[in-house]
Amino acid sequence: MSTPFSQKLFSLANPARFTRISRPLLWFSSAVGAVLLVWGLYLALAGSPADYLQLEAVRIMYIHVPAAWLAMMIYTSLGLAALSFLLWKHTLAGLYIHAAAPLGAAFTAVCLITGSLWGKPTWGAWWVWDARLTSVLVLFFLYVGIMALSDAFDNKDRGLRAGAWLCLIGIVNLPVIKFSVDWWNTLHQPASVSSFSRMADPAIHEDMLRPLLAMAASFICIFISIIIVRLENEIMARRLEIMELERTARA
Amino acid sequence: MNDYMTYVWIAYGVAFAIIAPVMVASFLKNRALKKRIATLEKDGSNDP
Repeated sequence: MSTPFSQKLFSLANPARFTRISRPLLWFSSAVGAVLLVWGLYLALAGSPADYLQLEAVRIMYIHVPAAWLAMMIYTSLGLAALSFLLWKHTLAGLYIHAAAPLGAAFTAVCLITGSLWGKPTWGAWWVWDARLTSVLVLFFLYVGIMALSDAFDNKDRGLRAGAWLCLIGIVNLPVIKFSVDWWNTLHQPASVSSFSRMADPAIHEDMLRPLLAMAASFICIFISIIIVRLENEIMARRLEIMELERTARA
Repeated sequence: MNDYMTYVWIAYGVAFAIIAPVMVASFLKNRALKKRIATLEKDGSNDP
């Protein structure tokens, strides 16, 4: 059933091969991410106009929305990694779940807190139990649950398997987050950019779209840089465990 | 400029305060693990 493409894809899941390609990719994503972050921050804080209704508060959008997109992207990648780990027992996929879950939780926390700081001046409330906000809070708890489960067992593989199952179960929350603003009457506004119907004709002026996309791209590059380092850490920690066992056996 | 800029600065500050420590901790751990492995490899090569 294996095709040359799937063989190539699976060969990348080898920790030794990953370590060889990770360094150049890390330098590239860090450099691109730094440039985009500086440019994005300039556009977000000074180079874009204030909104006619929300005034300066609209500038929170340039970190809130990229954090929300990234929180969902990371969870999607966790779901794929969980599938790969449970079906094909790819070591790197299991390590990815352990490395990426705290990052997903961090970006979801950024999304929730900046959303709250945006909600106060625009809605007049820090928090409402609205479908979108509640489903993103559930996403945060899922990330925390995956982190806790992955470390809850003495046998690390068993912990990763439990975390992977929770990743798969939590996938059901992603469409709820995405379509909550369409399925229910919510305070949260519907998608302006990230729906298929809106992609070609975004409901946002290009002066605001430019910083939004620059910040989103920089967040993605920052995530790639951190995840590469965290995956290297996971691989090195496993190697270190083996080396210390060998050392103890020799002594 | 108006009062809303306070919310904006706090939001950007919070985002930085959450992401930066995760990033720095990951890089520091990477360095520490590399050093530990190098020490163990050196010790191993000195073993009779």
